[in-house]
Amino acid sequence: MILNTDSIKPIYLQIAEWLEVEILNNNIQEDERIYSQYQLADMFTINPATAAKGLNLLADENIVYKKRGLGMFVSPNAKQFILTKRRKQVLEQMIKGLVVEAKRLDVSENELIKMIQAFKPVGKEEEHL
Amino acid sequence: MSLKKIDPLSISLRLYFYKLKGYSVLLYGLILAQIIALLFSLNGISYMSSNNGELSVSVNTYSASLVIVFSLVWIFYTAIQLTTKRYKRIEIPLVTNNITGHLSDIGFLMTACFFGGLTSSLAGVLLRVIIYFTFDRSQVIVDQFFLPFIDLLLGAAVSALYMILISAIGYLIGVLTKVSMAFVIVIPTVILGLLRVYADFVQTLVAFFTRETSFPLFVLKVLITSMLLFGFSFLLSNRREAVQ
Amino acid sequence: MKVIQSHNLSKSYGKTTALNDLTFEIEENTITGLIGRNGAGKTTLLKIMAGHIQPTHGELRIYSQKPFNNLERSAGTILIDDSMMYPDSFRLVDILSEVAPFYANWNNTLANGLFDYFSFNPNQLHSNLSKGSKSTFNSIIGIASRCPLTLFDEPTTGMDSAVRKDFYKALLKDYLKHPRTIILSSHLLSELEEILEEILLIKQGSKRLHLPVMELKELAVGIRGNAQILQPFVEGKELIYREEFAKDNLYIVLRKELLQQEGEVMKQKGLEVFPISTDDLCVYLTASNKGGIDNVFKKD
Repeated sequence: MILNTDSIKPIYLQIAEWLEVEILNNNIQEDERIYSQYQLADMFTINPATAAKGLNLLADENIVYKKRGLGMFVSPNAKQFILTKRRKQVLEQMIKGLVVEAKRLDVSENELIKMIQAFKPVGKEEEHL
Repeated sequence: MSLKKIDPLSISLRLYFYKLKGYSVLLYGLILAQIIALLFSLNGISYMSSNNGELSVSVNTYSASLVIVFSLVWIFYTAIQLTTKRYKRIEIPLVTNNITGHLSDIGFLMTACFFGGLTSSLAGVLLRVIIYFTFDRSQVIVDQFFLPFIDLLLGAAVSALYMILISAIGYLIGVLTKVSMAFVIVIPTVILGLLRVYADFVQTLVAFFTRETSFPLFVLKVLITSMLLFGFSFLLSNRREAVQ
Repeated sequence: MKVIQSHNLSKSYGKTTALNDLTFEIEENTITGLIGRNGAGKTTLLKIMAGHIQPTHGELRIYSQKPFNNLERSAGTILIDDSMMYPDSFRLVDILSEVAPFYANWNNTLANGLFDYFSFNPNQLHSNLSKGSKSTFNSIIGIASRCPLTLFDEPTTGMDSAVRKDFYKALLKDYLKHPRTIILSSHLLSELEEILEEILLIKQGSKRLHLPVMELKELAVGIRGNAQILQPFVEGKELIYREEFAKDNLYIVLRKELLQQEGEVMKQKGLEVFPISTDDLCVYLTASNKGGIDNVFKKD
């Protein structure tokens, strides 16, 4: 797996997001053990402290939980939580940018809504990271 | 984290073997110097001829002492070389400190002296063999021509000891020039000055070693002087950075 | 546990000051990037850590010992730089076998594995290697020696980018299995920042920053846009970088914490607010002159 190292997005965030996608794609089941910081460090060639921060981010949101001495496990309902969170955060951020840019380009609210409605995704629903 | 105690002697020994293998090129230099000296010696080191009208005598003296002189020059050069930045930069990246660096240098020099003493003594034998086969035997004056084995060993030991003494002097000079480049000028000046003004003193100093007839005493004199010289080198470089 | 403790460390060569009053500590079993421009004092600092040279003022301790002329420290430390020399008569294969006995944790399998992977010729002489190959070869020794304190001074000089990536990967993989304290110096942060935990940024011999590399990424923000709109927001704030460009346009960089809630307002007013890449930030932080190279050309 290759990280986007040119990206301004911190590596630990990229790690957390990658893990979320793994959970969404059912590659890691609920109540299954998730990768350790050392496995992640090895897989992505990153410092284990960075990997740990990515994991802790998920732990803070209760997407994973710690079992003493055994590592971290995916929480029940993690998938549902990630979906809700992403809808809210990712989409909201995108809309914010969209609205500001529309204003700069003198696109009215109605026109913007029409543009959104007119847009038809190609093929299947695309997944955005 | 505690590391197990590091033993300076075992590290010195490791460095010594490293240098022995790595600096073998220097030993080839010794062999080359001795071969050249031997070639010079084949011409005879002195020639004397007299003629009274009826009888003409010419005497060619052969000796391998030139081999020893060349070996001494070589060990002097080698000892200085070891103290240069170039050789210190080989040593520095390894596990070392001031003492182990010096001890392994001295170990290398001692080995070179032992080797040089032995080969220069053997060069005398080689010279005899060459003369034996190339000259008409009736013309060779057999003054100690057939060298007793014990004399061969003694010759080797004495050459080696002289080499040790010279290497200690060379090493100290090398260290001194690291302390200050001024010594590059000061040392030759002092030596020349001593030779001119205090010629007697220098003679006594040289005689202190060369006139010694007792072998054990000679050994003692050389070893103690060398140890003092090396010890002085240790002290001079103890708080100094070998490379910057 | 603190492995390296540096206190008011200074080093000068004659009248030039290489290090100036450096105080910092480095935690055991971390990978730290020592970042600075050419001549910032990186090499001098590493040489003091390795015990090759001694400080002029202040002190630096490794496992509470002064490293200069210290055999125990020397045995636990290795410094890999391009001034490393080996006897002329040693072939590459000889060097590996001769150096090995000096290091208690040396791993032969790893050394030979890397040696083969980078397709070295065992019979080649070190002095005949190209600059990049020399760096690669020296790095193999650095990794395989597994010293508790492993120091690399600009290890990737001359390496092509594929080898660089492999080197960092190899170093990290071995570090994960055998944790140790590693310090890598570089003038370029971007190529190694993923494997770092901490970064120590020095400028002209002084410490500029010492913090987890993750925090560095979020340390500063850049704002770009109309100067009239932007100016009131940053009035009186300490700027890391400031550049005027085009007509009435301003680009500034400042610490994120100075911005707080204003970021959102700025965005709505049409200003661009964006994160700063760590590399750019390092350049700004170590710039000797605000305004940079453009100033040289503006004078005409």
